[in-house]
Amino acid sequence: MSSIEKMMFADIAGMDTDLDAVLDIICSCGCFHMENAAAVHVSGSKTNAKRENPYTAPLKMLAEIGTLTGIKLQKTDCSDIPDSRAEQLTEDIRSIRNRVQKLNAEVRKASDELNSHRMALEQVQHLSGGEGVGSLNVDIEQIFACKHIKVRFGRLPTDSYDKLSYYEDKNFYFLAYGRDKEYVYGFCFAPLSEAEEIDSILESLYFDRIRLPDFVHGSADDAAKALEKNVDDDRNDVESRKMDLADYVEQQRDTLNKYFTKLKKLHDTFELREKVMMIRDKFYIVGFVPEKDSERFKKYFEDLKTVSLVMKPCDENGEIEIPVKLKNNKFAEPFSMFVDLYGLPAYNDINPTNFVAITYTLLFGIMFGDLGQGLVILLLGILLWKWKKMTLGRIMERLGVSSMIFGTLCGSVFGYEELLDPMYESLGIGFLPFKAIHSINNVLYGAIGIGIFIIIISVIVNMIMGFKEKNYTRALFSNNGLAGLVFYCSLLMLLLGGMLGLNVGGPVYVVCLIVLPLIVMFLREPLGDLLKGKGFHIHESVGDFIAANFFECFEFLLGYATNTLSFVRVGGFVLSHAGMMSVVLALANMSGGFSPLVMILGNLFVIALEGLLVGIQVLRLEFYEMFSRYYTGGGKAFKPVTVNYDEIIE
Amino acid sequence: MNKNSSAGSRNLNATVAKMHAIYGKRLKQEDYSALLSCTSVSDAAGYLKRNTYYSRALDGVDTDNIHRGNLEDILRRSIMENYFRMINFEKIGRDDFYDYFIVKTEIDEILICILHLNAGTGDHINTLPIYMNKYTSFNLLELAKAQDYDDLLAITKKTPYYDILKEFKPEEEGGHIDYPAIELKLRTYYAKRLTESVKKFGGETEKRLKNYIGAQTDMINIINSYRMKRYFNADAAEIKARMIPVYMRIPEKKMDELYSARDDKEFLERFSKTYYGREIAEKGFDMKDPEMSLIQFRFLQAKRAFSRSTSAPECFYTFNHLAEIEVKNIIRIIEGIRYSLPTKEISELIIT
Repeated sequence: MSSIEKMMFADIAGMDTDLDAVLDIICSCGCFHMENAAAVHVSGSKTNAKRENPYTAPLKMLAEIGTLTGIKLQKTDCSDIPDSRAEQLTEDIRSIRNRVQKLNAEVRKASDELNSHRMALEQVQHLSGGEGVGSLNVDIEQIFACKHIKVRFGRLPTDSYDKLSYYEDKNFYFLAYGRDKEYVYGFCFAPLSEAEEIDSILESLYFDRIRLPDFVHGSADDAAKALEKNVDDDRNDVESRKMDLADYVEQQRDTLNKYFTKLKKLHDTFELREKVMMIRDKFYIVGFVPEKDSERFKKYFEDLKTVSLVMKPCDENGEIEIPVKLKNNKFAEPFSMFVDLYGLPAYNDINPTNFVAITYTLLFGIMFGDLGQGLVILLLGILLWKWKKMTLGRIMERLGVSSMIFGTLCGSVFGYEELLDPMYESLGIGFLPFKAIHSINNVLYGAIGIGIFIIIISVIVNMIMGFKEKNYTRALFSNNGLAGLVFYCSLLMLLLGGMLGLNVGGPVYVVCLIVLPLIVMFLREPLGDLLKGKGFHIHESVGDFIAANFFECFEFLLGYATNTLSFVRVGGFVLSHAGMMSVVLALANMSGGFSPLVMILGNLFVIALEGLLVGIQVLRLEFYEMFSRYYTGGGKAFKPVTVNYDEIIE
Repeated sequence: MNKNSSAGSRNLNATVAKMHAIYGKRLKQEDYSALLSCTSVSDAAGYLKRNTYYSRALDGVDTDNIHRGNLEDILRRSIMENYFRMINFEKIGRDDFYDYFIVKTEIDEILICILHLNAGTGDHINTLPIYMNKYTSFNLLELAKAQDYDDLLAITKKTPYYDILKEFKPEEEGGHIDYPAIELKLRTYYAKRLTESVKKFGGETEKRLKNYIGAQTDMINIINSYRMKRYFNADAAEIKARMIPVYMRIPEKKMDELYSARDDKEFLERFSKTYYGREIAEKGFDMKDPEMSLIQFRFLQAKRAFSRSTSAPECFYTFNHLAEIEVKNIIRIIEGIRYSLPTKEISELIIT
C-alpha cells in the first residue's frame, strides 16, 4: 500500500501590520491548508479579522462586463501592476464598464427596434394568409382609422386566450386569425368609450400589443413588403453595433485580464481573513503543511520580523482533523480518482491506491484481453489526456497496456483468435494456455481463484490495519480478521479436497478450523472487550445478543460465498469478449465476401460497450468485494489555499 | 376522481429511472449564478430556454418580449406538464395517491376564491391555473366567476369539498366567510386523504411516505404557529385551533408546549429541543430564522428521499416537491430581477 503524506501543524502569530504579507505568502506558496484559528486558540477576547472586502466591488464590475459582452476573463501575467495601484484599477474598470454599458444599450435599442419590426411583420404576414381567418385583403390603415371602435393588434398567450370566456359580459371582441404552440394572434375590437377598461383587461392577460409603424399603409401584402425592408435595415444596424461592442472589448481584453488577475488574487487573499483570529493587534493563523514542504514554507517567513512560525508534528494537535494528501507513485497516481470517489482515507489509515491500481489493471486486462483493442484504448487514453487533460485518459493508458499484454497471452487481436499462433509456433510454443474459447472451465475456475486470492489479501490488509489501530476485534475476531481468514481458508480447503477426491478434514479439522472461528466471530465484541481488559461483557440482553449475532454470522457466511462467486464475472467477461467478437466476425463474413466496414464498426461497438461494462464491473469488485473488507474512507482532503481564477466572483 | 388503474403493486422502474434522468438535468449552482447575473426578465427567460431543461416548456415562447407574469405561469405549468409526463410514461393512471397534485390545486383555488369573495374583488382569473381545468373535479373558470358563497357551493356540489364547505355557509347572504376554519378543514382533509392513500403500497414505501408526509405537516404547523406567536402573540388555544391535527415527529403534548410559549423567543427555545430543532442545528441552519431553516430542511429531506429511493410512489412525490422548489427558486430570481433587488438578497432566498 502506498502511503499518506506526513503533515506538520503550522501555528503562525504576528502583528496585524504584517497580516497582509502573511496571507499573501500562504496564498502563493501552494502548500498551506488553512484552518479556522478560533477552533484552536481559546481566548475570551478573540475577534475575527474579517472586514468588508474592498476588492468585491471592482470584481463585480468585471463580472458585469463579462455578462454584457460574453467574454471569459482569464489569468495572465500582471507583474507590472503594483499593489499600490489597486484603488486606481477600480476607477479604470468603472470607466470601461460604463463604456460597455453604453455600447450594450445601443445594441439593445437596435435589437428592440428590430424586434418590434419583426413582430409587426409576423403579424402582417399572418394577416396576409396565415392560419385562422386566412388572408384579410383590407387596407390596414382603414382598420385603424375607425372612429368609434378602438382596434388593438397583437397576440395572447394560449392560456390567456382560454380565459377570455370569463369576460363574456364585457364589451369587446377578440378576432383570432392564427395560432401557434404558445400564442393566439388576433385583433381586439372595443368601443372607444370602454377602451381603457379593455386595455387593462388585455394587459392582465399578458396581451402583447404590436404597434404598426407609421409607414405601413395599404393592404397586408403591401405592409409586409415595407416591413421586410425595414427588418433588413434593422438587422444590419444591430450587427454593426454588435461589432462596435466586440471591437471595444477586444481592445480592452488584455487590460481586463490583467486587472482581473490582480484583483482576484487580492480578493481571495483578503477573504482568508475569515479564518484569522485577532487578539487586540495580534493575529493568529493555523493550518497544515506537508512535511516535505515545511523547510521551504519556513523560509518564506524569514524576513518578517514580527511574525513567528511554529511547526510541530500533527499528533500534538488534537482539536482539528488532519487533512489527507495521498502519496502515490506515477503508475498508481491516476487511480486515486477512484479512491476519491469512495472517500479519502483518514490520516492514520492506509492509502489503498496502489492496491486498486494493480488489481484494477490486472482484472481489466484479464476481462478485456485483446492486443488490437487494447492498443485502441491506449491511443484513446493518450488523446484524452493530451487534449482534454482527463484523468480517465491516464487510467485508459494503463488499462490499454494491460489489455494488450493479456490479449497477447490469449492470442486475441481484434477478435482474431488465431492471428498470433504462427508467432507462438515460431517460438516453439504449441498452444496458448489462456485461450479462452477452448477452455471455458479453466477460465471460470481461474476467475474464482483470482477472487479467493484478492479476498485473502483484503482480509490480511484489514488485519494489519486492526493491529495498527490496536482494534483487536477488527484484527482477530471479525469476519475480516484472523478468525474469518482461518474459517474461509479452511472451508475452501475442505471444498477443494472434496473436488479433487483428497481426504482433507475430519472432526478435529472441522471443530478447530471451522466451528471454533465461527464461535469466535459470534463472540467478537465481548472477546474484543476482554482483550482490552474490560472483561467479558455482553452489552444488551442475552436474547438480543444471540439473535443479532446469529443473523450477522449468517450474513458473513453468505458474504463469503457470494463475494467469492462474484468473481466468476471476471471469467464471464473473458468468455463474452470472445463470444461477441466471434459474432462480429460472423457478421463480417455474412455478405458473401469479407466486409472490413462491419469488422471496424463491430470492433468499435465491442470496445465501447464491453470496455465500459468491464470498467464498471471491475470498479464494483473494487468497491464492494475489496473496500468493504478493509477500508472505511471518511478522511478530509488536503486543500492548499489558492486563488480561484475559474470564477470572477463566487 | 377517475380510477383507471391501480399503480399500487406495479413495477414502475422505468418511471423511476425517467424521474432520475430528469432530476439529473435540474438547475445547478452555475445555472443559478447565471440567472442571478441576468439584468432583465427576458435575459433570464432566454437563459432558461437556451441552457436548461426548461427549453421544453419555453419552446415557441418569444422570450425577448415575455411578460414576467406570463413567464411565471409557464414555469408553474411546467410542473404540471412534468407531473402528467410521469403519470403517462407507464400509464400509471390516476388514483387517490397519484391525484394528490390535482387535489392540492383544487383546494388552493377554492381558498383563493374565498379570499376574493371576502375581499369583494374579482381578479381571481389572473392567477387561475387554467391549464389544470381539464383535470379538476369542478370547472375552474366557473369558480373564478363565483359571486357569492352559494355560487361556490353550486360549483363544488359533486365534489368531496361540498360537505366541508356547506358547514361554513355564512348565516346572512353576503356575510363574512370564516376563511381560517375552512382552510384548516380543507388542509386536514388533504393531509388525511394523502396519508390514507399511501396505505395500499404497504411495507417500506408506505412507512417512508407516511413519515415524509407527516413530517411535512409537522413543519407547516411549526411555521404557522411560530408566525402566530411572533406576529400576533396568540395564546395556546387560539394557535391549536388553527393547526392541522396530524402529528408525526413531535407528539401532540410537545406541540402543545410549543403553542403555550410565552413569546416567540421561548417558542424558539422550546423548538430547539424538538427533533426538528436538533436536526436544523446539526445541519448548521440559522435557528433565528426557523421558517427558512425548516424549508431548507424539508428540501434536504426530499432530496435525500428521492436520491435513495427506488420506490415509484416515493420518488414521484419527492420529485414533484423538488420540481416545485426549483420553480419557486426561479420565480424568486425573476421577481428579484424585475424589482432590481441586490443579487445577494435574492440568492439568500434560493434553496439549493
